[in-house]
Amino acid sequence: MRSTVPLWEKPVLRQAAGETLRPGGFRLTDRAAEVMGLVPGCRVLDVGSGLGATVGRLRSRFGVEAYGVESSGQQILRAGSQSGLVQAQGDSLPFQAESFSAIFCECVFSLFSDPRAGLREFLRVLEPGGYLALSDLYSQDAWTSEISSCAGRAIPFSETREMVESQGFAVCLVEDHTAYLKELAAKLVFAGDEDGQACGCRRRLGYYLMIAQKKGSQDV
Amino acid sequence: MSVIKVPEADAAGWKCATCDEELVSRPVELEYLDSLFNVELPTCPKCGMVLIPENLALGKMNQVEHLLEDK
Amino acid sequence: MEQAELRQWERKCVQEEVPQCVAACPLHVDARTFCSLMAQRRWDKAWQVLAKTLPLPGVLARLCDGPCKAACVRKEAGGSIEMDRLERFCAETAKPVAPPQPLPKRGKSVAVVGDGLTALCATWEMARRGFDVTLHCSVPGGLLPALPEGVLERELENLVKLGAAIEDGVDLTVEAIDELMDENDAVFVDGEFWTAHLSEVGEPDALTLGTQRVGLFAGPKGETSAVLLAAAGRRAANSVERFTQGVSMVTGRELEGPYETRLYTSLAKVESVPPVVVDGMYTEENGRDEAGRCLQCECMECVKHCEYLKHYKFYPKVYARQIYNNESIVMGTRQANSMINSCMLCGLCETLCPEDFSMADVCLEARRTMVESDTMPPSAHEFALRDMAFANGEKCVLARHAPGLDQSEYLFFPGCQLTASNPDSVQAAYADLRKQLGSVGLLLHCCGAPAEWSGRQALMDETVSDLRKEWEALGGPKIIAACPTCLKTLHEYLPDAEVVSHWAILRALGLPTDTARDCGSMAINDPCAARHNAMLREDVRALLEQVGVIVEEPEMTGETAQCCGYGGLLSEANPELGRAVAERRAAEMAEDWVTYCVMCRDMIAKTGKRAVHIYDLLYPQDVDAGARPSPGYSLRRENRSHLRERLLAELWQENGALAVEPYESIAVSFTAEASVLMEERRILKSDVQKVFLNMQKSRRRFVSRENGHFLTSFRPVVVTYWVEFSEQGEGYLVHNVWSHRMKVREVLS
Repeated sequence: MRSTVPLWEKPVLRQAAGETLRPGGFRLTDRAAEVMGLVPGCRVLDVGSGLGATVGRLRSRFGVEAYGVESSGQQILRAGSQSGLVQAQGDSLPFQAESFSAIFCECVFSLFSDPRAGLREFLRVLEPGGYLALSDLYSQDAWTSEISSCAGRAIPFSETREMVESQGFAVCLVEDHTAYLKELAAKLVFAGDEDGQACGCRRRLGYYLMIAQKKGSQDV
Repeated sequence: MSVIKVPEADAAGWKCATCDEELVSRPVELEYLDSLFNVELPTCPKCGMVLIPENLALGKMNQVEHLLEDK
Repeated sequence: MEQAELRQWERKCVQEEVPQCVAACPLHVDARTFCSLMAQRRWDKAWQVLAKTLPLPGVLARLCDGPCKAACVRKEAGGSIEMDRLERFCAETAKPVAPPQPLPKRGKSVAVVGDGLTALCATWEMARRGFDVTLHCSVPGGLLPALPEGVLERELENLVKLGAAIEDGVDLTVEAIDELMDENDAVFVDGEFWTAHLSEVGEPDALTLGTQRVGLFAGPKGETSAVLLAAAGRRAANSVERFTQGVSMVTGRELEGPYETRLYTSLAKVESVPPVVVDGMYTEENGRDEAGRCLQCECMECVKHCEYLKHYKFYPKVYARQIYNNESIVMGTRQANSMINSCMLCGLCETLCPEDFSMADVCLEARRTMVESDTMPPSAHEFALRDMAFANGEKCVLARHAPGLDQSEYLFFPGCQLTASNPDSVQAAYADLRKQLGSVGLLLHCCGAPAEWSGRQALMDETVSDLRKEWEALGGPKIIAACPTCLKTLHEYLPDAEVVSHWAILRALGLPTDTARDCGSMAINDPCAARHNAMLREDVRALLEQVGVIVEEPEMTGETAQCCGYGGLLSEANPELGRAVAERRAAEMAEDWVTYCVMCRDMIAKTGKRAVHIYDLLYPQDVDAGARPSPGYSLRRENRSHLRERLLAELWQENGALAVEPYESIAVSFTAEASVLMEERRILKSDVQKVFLNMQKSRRRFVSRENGHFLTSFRPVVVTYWVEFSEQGEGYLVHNVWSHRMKVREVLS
């Protein structure tokens, strides 16, 4: 019988993935930050900040003013005394319009119950020309299911891309990083998670990084 | 085109055997790789035979040829 | 060459990469230059090298733990350079220098906190860059180990001279940090300090030393190496600089700490010498001796072993750029064109280079480009190509089945130079092959290598096409090649043909009956065409052993054989350099040389060194083959054409005589001086005969008042030849010859 605790809440995932709850760890975060040209002085938001690892990384490595929103109260608690983390839903952000130069949304977008609403919120709080870094699972088949773990919610990449573009973003960069997914799955096996097989084995899943820019910006 | 006088271009003791004439300095048109030069060279005043002495051929002329071949 | 290609070539050559010590040093001190100066006893200049890079040099030079020693190439040849001891000695001995001039103030303030070395160095580095920096500490450098009297004080004075402020006796607390964060554009705390007080801000980022509190940077904790602590101070300064400028914190920082370098330094001829180790401080002699052990690392592997690469005074990375630049100059410069045409295309550099740089690839491509764009200087290869045309002309080409047969299982292909240099041995070899194998045809033809080497691919294709026609007309038999260059060329351009070396055949069938025996010790010269043909090299050595030759291998042999100077048409395009190459090779060994390419044999023989071709041992013709001079250009042509006529007459009972050209019947002889000049100036007997024939028609000549010699000239095609002569009975005696390419058009006036 499959466990009802979402995958991202399980201790075994934390052990396998390290402090970041996703494939690739900080490698994709760093890649996105460099592509977006983040510099000290930028204000950056991490949507689905979990334990605050990305926020910490953005501050210490990139010197940016980083904030995080996380819907899970448990995660916020575990994040401890780190400042700048707020409990909120991704599709209802407690920030003023045009207040961020970049948004990170890593391995969490496929869990939005209303992804389009989420994108509208992202667009609202981004400055003109601001960037969205989206990384997540995608399905290599057309079939989706109702299972609430991230693996169950993955949709074909083209659908995500279409959604992003239709909500007012211009896609600048798309990269396939499925290799990181396989790496994480392997780590889960080692960490001894019996349900770990569900993280990608039954369906053909991939992992993407997409960087999109809010249209109507100064720089083309 | 102006005529170039070259010190090495001296008769060096040669005279025209065919005409039994001493050689005189005359402007001569020389050509290599589409470039033309007017140089004063020892020439027979009668039959027009031109002398290109050894030190000129192996010296300045050779230098110019290389110059035109390269840069 | 495209720019992308140039970059690839430049990248391959590692000569300009930094030495291991510089790369391994966290501060990238130029230890190589330092050692060079120390070895010359120039202590003050050496100290300047350190002071240029080290923060608080008086302190750091005395505390440096020398991580460069782990990377030092000398480690494998006696022991690493004792850099730390040299630094201490230099610090004690040299005249102190003033701190460097700081950059203008930039109006940004930084607070540095701590008593450790990182804090001091961070302060120094930031003051250098024009930051308004204040060091907050209880005792400046309080955590440093003991130093000689006054050393720390002097550097603290220098720190102030650089523009830093020092506030000591400060009580360092977390609240104090908050205040400093408010008052300054950035704050850096020493590793020792934040361990105790600031665990909430998390581990500092390894690349930037940034913490969870943006604008607060922290040093690593638990670091004991002095130079790593100093490097952390520099890293902090770099981060603060980027932070306050609002530029990327991460891009382009790969070379900040220690990194890998690709510089390769061979230890092949380096003697093992142990380090100078004494109790206490070095003396001047110790310092000089130890610094003298520094290898002054560089690569130069290819240049060390190639006279051509040495001649142009640089190394492949520079040459690639020179050749690239040359292509954008209309006709190319003399220097670069000459360099392009002087490569022997022999492949040695590629074999020796740790990154496989191939001058052959670069130069051959450049030659092809020059030919295509019509900028190849005609004088470079014209003579050699005329010679090839002669060898492929009706006077020399011969294609026949063995006498009495109408088909061939094999086809003997001696190549155009063996027939030119040693025609009698070719005849003997052919007879031997027929005796052993029966249906062996003969094809006298040039394989086309000169066309390829000169960059004339169209001519090469044409030559190969003619060759193929002859081969196919004879039934496409197995080709027995005697020349390694022919072997290589035929493999490439007649891939459907079976090509085997004469040496492989002899090894299988046994030696000819007249083979010389017990020839003593000889040095073997592998032709450069044999570089990648191990089987060929082995076959030859096996034969030589059977002959009773004791083969001595030169140092550069087999895969690393050095070219004789003929390869790539070097000796034709650049006779002086070709000769220098041949002389270097010839002098390499005391013994007589034995080789299996007749051009190698002749190039070495021309330097005066005794040399034989293996045919001289297998099919001896001369009493003393080692002393036989290299035949001159005119004689080479005569040998080829006479061989063809002789074989046609003796083997096939045919009269091969072609219509004698009128000029060929002119009797001409040469003085000794004239003969030498003919060779040097690449003027053939036939050229001279043509001049005389023309004179007989035109009757035009000069006469000398001094010695009664005559002088006449004629331009057959593209070269004008001048001949100074006396009449001698029916013929002429030639005293002097010269030529030029420039044409006389007309006399003006």
